[in-house]
Amino acid sequence: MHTNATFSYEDEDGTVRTFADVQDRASLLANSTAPGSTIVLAGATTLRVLEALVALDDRAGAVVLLPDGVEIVPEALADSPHTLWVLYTSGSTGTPKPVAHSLGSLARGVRPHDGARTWGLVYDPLRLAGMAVVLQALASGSRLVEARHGSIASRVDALRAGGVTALSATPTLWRQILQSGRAEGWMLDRITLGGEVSDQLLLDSLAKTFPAARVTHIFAASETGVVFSVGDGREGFPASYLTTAPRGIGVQVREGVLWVHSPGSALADDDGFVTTDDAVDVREDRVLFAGRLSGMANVGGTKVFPEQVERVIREHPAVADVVVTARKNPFSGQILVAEVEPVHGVSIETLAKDLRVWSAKRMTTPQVPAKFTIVPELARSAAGKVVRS
Amino acid sequence: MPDDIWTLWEWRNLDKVRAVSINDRQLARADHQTWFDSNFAQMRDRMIMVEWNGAAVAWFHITRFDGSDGGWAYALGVTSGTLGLGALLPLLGLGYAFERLHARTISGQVLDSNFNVQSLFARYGIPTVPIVAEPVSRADGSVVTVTSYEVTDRDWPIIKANALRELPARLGDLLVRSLEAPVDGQPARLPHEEKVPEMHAVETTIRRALLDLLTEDDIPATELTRDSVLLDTGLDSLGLAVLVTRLESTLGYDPFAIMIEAVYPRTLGEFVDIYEKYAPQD
Repeated sequence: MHTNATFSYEDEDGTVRTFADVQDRASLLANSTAPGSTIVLAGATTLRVLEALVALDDRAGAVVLLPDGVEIVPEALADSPHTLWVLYTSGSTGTPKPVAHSLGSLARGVRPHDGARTWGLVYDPLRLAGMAVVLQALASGSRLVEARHGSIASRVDALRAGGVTALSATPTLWRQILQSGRAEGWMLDRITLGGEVSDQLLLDSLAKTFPAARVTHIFAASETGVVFSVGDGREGFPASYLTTAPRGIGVQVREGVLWVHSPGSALADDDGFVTTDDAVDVREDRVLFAGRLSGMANVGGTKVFPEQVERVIREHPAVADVVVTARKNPFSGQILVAEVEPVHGVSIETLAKDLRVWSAKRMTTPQVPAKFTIVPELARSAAGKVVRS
Repeated sequence: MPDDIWTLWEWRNLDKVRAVSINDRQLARADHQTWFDSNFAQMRDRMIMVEWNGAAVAWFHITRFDGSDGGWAYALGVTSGTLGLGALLPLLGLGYAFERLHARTISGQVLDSNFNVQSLFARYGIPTVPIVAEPVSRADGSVVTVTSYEVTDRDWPIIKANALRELPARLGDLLVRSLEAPVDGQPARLPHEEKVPEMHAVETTIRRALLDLLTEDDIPATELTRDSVLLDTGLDSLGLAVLVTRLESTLGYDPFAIMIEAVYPRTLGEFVDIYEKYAPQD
């Protein structure tokens, strides 16, 4: 994989490592690694991940990146001519699953010629999303500044103090950043969103707050390694992708569900397509995400997607973020309930009631949550996504 | 009643009462007597004992009343089986101030840590005073903050309507009597009595949630009896689903999730019975 000697890394304590520092440490690691052996990096720091990336490709048989809290190790890895890089899915739809990649496939979304800039790292480097940021910085010879812990305000402060101009984060994290009150005047030039669906409201807010930034949202079917991105500032992706494959990746909509072409995947059908389990609506020139099939609820015989309801509720000016979930109900099969994190400082006295009225005006009856609970803060995972319990 | 003064003394020293009082210090018997004599002699303060089925259960206190403006405080004493009484007391206290004393403004303070009362006041629409909270020091040396509330005679009808919607329509034989300080050596007298009919807390909660839902959905409210057919109230099955979901957070359980054999109630009475049958036993 391509690396660039202008790369440097600043950890959360402010210690800076040049590319030469990383190479020195990497050569020690390479010398102590028997060719073809399996290396497990459990709860590794970003520095360890960087060393492994520089030292171990084409040396180790497999490198297993085991995030904190994940204890399973794949029992047997298929023989492979190249080093297998094993990353775990975030487990947002079940238990984390190991997926083996080649470094080449991990780096597929990397733009080595995007220019040396300063990337912020707010993700776990042992996960796919964090790995993508690390690889982008390594390949483009950028500076990488880590800010993964602490309050959102302190993380934004640290990123700004580190001179970060490029940042990749989940829509949930971006909403928090916009709400933190620390983002005004931050001269970002690259904004990437991934891991969750990006809605128009958020894309518009980002464009307004960071007028100089190129905003890109990413679709990744993590188990297939298929990734494509959209940079036109609109939610969803162009319907033209269904006929003209983006970057050679075939995309189909079958009965309202998005399928991607990934012939190498074990889950692929005879045509080489794999379901993403994302329900989509094709509206004129655009394919819009409705929600995860696994999260779809049946309320009194009507299929509803909690994500669609969340999108509408987020448009309320007093709502910072919301998570909608389905509950069992004797009279309607299931029913939706909403947890709302209000914008800092707004009056919450009648907010729950206001939101119900607001929702009833904008959605069908089955979509309106039965109950709005106002909470000081939504539960968020280490991966920066809202937790759907 | 002459004994009420000592009942009051006991209650004021209860841990649970001191925990929510602005002044949380233990009160000596002699100090209580002094406080009582000095505050009540001029009839500027009024202490009202609330009885439930013949036993004193709570009090409210109108303070520094000058014929127009005053303060108020209230608390539950030693009680058992008086669900919903806490929600009734603000209505009794403010009702006494505005309808008997014809007060113009009544103000009070609630500790910010007293979440139950804060949320009750919010539901009733009792207005807060937008001033910076003054810190109050506690007996243990800690400092807490309070929220101030001020009700005017113009706010009162709205608060009363809000509170009445939350209240049981039939509460046990509830007696309210005013305990006035001995004046010229005369014992305290009972100026009035009030009766409030009884209803069980579960039914009250269900009716309130149902009425709220009908109001939100702009469904004209009809008179609700135990024989009212649920689907004739204006609610459809989705409305019932909403009702059950909300009741689960208010009451803390969903009988339909607990029951082994599914029962679908037809009338409000059947619906209430299911909730009462599956109510968790403490």
